[in-house]
Amino acid sequence: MLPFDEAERRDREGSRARGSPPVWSVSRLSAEIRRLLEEGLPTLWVEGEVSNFKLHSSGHRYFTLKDESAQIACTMWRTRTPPPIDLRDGLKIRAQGRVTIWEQGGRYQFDVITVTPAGLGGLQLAFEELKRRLAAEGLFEQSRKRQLPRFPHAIGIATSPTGAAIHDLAWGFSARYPPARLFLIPVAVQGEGAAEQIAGAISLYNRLSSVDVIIIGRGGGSLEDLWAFNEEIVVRAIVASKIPVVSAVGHEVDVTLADFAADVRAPTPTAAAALVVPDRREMLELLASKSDRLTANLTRTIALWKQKLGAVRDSYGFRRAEYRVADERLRLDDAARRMLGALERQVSERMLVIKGLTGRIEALSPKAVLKRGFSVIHNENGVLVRSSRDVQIGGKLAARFGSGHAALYVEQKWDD
Amino acid sequence: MTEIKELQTNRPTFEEAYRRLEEISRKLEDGSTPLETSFELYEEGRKLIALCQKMLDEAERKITLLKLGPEGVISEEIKID
Repeated sequence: MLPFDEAERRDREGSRARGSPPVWSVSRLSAEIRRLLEEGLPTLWVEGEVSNFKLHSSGHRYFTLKDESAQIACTMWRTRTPPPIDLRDGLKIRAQGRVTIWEQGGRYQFDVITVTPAGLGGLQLAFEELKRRLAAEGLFEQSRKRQLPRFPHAIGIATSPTGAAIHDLAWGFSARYPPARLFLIPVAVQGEGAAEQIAGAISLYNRLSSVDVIIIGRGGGSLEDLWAFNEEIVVRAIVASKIPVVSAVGHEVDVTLADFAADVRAPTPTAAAALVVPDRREMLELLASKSDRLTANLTRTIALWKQKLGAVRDSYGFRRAEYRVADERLRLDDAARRMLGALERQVSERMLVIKGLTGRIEALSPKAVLKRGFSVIHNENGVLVRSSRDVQIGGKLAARFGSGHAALYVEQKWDD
Repeated sequence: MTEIKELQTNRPTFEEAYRRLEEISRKLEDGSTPLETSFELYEEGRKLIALCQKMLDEAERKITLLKLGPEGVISEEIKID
């Protein structure tokens, strides 16, 4: 092939000499087509159905993408990231790439960089394949799931800054448990680059190590909208995270691979708060009963020491003659009496206040309900079980009775 | 990284306060704790309960936005509406 300038020069000379229209060489025409196509069509996405798929022994993939009325030859070099789904004839895909010209062969083709499944069938297929592959690696194993902290201090959220999910999460957390600090790394939750951004946010939280729970999520949408949460890069970021990850994606019925990998799956962003932090009202009740017990214990301790002191006093009176340090004893006795008197006064004042409160607290307390013969069941994550739908056969539960606890295994269940 | 550290206060976290409270409860239940210590523990316990209650009643409604810029992580406080 001639250099472009050279070809042009000759054409100019030729046309001048003969006064006829310029005649192009094949090489020049080919080079011009190449320039027009490659400049005019930048890297783009094309959707179509795969046919004539061949995986060459060299590792390169060759196929044709077609729709009802056209087709284009495609190559995907071995060095490209392997497709998330095995390519095969009939599969609908979206391919990212650019048009290139093979000048020697006089043909153009689409040089494919990445492939994603397209259409509901394709997505469903890709979901199942990826799920099977990652499950086989053990990434969804229950045994590698981490426990959430009981009182999270800082919660790291990765979601869209403008979606419904951030609103639901922020309100849920601040209403239920104000001591938690909320952080947000804004990310795209659908479309190109969303999966990379979500995975990036998880690893950024891990690098900063300033949060003790990470929540990734978004509001509801189609399988396509939620697709970022099915991508391998997101699943691997969750698995690699040293900080427990909660997924809160879409509605109750939407299940993503992120849900399988996450340490806890929240059915919706709104439900996430209840799974991650304690409820302030329950905590206030607990604190009130703690206060009550504190006073009762101090009263008991004082009574105990009074008893000991009484014994000393008696023995002092009884064995007076044997003691040489009578003055010291007297002083000690007196000091002890004064201290006890002061303590008792303070305690009885507080007891009066607390007695009033206790009656009210008892009425509210779940303990009062338990004493009447009801039990409270929690699952292994400490979450209250309200329905048989929330338990699994073979699962472990913890029951709290009026007095004492027990671990339970679910043998059978009946959902009604 | 430093930006986030600076935002943290000296106040104990709810968890730290609550754990200490549980520790105090245990010690007070143990009859062998000296009387004076018991009294001090009792006072500390009351203060921790008040602190925990205060934390549960505070409603800050704030969220800290984190963005990765060329200079590292920038944080920005925004109100929840």
